[in-house]
Amino acid sequence: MKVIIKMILIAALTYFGLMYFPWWILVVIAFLVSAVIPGNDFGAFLSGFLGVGILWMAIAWKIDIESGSVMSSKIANMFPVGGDTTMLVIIGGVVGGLAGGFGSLSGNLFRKIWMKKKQKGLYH
Amino acid sequence: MKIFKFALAFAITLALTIALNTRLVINSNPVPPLGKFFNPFGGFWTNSEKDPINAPEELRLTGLTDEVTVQFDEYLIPHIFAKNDADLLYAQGYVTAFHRLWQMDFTLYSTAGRISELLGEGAIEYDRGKRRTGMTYGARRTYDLAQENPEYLTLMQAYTDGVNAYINSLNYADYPIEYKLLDYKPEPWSVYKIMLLNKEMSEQLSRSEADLQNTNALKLFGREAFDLLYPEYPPAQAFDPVIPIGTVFDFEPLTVSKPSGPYPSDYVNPTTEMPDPDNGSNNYAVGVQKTGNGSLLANEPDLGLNLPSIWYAQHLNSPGINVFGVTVPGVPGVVIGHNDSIAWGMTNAKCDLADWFKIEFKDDKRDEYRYDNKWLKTEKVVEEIKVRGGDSVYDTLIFTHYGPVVYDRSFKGNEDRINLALRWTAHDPSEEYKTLFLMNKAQNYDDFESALVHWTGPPQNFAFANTKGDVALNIPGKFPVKWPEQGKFILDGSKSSHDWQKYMPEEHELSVYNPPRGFISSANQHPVDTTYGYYTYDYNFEHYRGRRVNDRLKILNSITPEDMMKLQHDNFNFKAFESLPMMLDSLDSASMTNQRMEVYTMMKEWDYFNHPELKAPSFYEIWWGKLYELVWDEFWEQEVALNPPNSYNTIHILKNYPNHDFIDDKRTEVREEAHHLFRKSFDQALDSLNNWSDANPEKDYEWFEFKNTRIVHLMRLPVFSVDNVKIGGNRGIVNAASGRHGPSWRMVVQLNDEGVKAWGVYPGSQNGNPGNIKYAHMIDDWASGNYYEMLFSNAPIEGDQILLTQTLKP
Repeated sequence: MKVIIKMILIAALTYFGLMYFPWWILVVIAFLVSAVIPGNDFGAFLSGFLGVGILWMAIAWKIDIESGSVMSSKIANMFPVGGDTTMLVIIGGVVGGLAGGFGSLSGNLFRKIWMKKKQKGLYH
Repeated sequence: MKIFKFALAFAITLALTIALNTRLVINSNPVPPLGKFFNPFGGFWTNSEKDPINAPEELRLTGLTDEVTVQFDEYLIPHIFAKNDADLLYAQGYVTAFHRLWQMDFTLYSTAGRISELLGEGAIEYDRGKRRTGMTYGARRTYDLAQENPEYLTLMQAYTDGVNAYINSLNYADYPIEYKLLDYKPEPWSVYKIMLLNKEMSEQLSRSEADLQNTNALKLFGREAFDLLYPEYPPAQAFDPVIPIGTVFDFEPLTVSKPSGPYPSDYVNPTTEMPDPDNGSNNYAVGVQKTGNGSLLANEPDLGLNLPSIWYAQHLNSPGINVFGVTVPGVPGVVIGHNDSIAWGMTNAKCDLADWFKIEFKDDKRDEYRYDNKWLKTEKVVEEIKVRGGDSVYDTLIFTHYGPVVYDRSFKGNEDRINLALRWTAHDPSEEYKTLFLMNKAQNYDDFESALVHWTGPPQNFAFANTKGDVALNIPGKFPVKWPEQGKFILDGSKSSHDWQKYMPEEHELSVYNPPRGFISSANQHPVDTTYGYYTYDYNFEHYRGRRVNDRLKILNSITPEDMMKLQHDNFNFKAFESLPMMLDSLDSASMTNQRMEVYTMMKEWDYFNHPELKAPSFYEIWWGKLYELVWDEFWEQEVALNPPNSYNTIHILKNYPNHDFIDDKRTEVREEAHHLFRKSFDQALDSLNNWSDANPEKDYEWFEFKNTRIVHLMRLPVFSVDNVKIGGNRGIVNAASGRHGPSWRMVVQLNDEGVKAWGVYPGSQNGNPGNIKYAHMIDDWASGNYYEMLFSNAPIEGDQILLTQTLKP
């Protein structure tokens, strides 16, 4: 449940953040969310990966459909994906997802350094 | 442990983020920064434009003094209505950048010799060549001179401010896609950059000199052979100059005397990058005696066919100016077009204005060079070429009073054998921008002529037509007075007698006004016959298009705009007409079998028109290519730079000297005459045709498929380019569409008592974004001969033709 909340939070903050900041702001966002909201490492990574990945895929997919692939069909022939624009949507999702996932994982591990005792208490 | 785990994860995150934010080169394939590029909020996705135009109806722009209305019509041509000239040019700059920012920026990098900054070390030699031929040197001097013309400077600054207002409104998401692919940012525009692009026109159009190749050929083959291979004039029956034969010149020309020899005789190889020899154009205008009412003017500049297109169409209106035509993105004003009263067009007036002087340095320090009995000081400039992903490269340029020493020990592997300085009119400070601004407002022939006073180069055949039915053609420029053959070969830079000594006075420049034949025309052929009195030489005069245009115009009467358009698409292959019968006659058709006979019959029946769907033009082209290769076998394996003779003269020699020693293929034991080569090349052509068919099994060898006219994106990206355009013609044909080259803008203007009306089309689109739905949309119409009637009014209009009306406010 917590993973889903974090995921939604990361996605939502990334959505607004990317309107005003360069793409790497999502790494900072994912980091901060996991640094603030406790969880395990795998969950942290997953929330970042899925939060950003799904967001990026959704937005890209929307543009792809709405624009009739006017640009993506050309770009898809520059990458080894055989002109498939859906593959571009997926590649983008993985790229954004990895950045979000690692950002989120780092944030989680960062929190753990400081929250050592509390967390031990929680789990033992 | 926890700190270590964090540190590890953090390091991975950081490395990943940096990697995704960096342009990488994998297996020599550049990959854009993936994080930036795939970000759907700012990467390539945001360059998707499903609507032809998407821009706010109202914009506030600092720098404007009053409100400006911009209307984009259905072809996305902006019609700009301003209340003063400065605002007009500001808006022109803004709108041009809106559609073509990356193109103007990239062209600038290429002109300034800065491509290595974008593409890395592979472009260093290209950049050095650009710096060494003095592009920036000429632009800088022109910029300095412009400081004396504050009123023009203000206008160019306004244009610049408009471009920069657009650049400043952008963030990464709005950058044209090419910036994202190459991962760099737009740089502010400047007046100096306008000057550089002006000089680029000279680079493209006034560097068809062959001094080095001529010198090599003269030394290698001797005088008699040289004159046979490279005659200055064609025989009378093929000589149809721009200024009609019979024009009377009632002035005493200035003269310079030819110094006695010796002249430098050195082998030079290789040579600097040269513009495409096919760069040229057609223009023609017919007066009232040919139309019955008013005049008609047609123009099409034949240049490299690129996307985004070299031209950008615009309509500029403010009190005192109402002009429509094509502009060069990055340069203010209209270059080719019309206003309420006149229309004008340009073709390149070929003329050798770039000469090479052999320099004798005093010593290895190269601080001084000989000039008669004196030693003159050189000036050294160190050029820094920044290189992406590497260290800067420094190149020392040595300047003489002629200009830069282009060839020396450190360039083109020349190892100190020879030092050559380039004297070129484009190095001189010039004021072509004045011509454009004045031309845009010109109301009559007098205004037209006074605008041309400021034109230095590249020399152009300026065609003129007005609503009263007058036509004219002027050839303005800065022309050194030369002794016969001065600058045809390398000159001796140590002798003042070899130097350019005086320039032709403006009143001796060539022009023709309402000639008896009722029309004017030009197609890069010889400007004039020898009665002119001045030595006019170029290595690369055109021999076919001009004759065809004149042949047609002589017989046409009651000419309509449609006739003018049809002539622009004329596919008559003059070269084939003059060579194919002779080639076919040599074949022995009696002993032919199957495919041979089939091809022979097809060629026999062909009417010499290069229509796109015919096969005969393809076979002719292969056959001609093979023949040419056999005839000039002497040229292919030489160590020095040489130009084989042109097609016209090759045919002339084959016809008139069929037994000449040059005809013989030295690579064989037997001695060949012309008819042997015709037969041999026919066989080779058949083989070559079969090879082509094997390699392209899905294609028949229809001319357009075989020729493959393609419009190529400036980054050479296949996905942004258009291949296999179905168009006829070829080089040397009025419809001059060859593989990568051809009519870059077709325009026909009708001027009569009802006003001025224009039709135009070009192979591209106003919007330069490959992700726009209308990208490259005009290509098919351009190819098939459809023209768009251009909207032209004196005030904003309403209606379906307008896609967007935009108000720019201060």
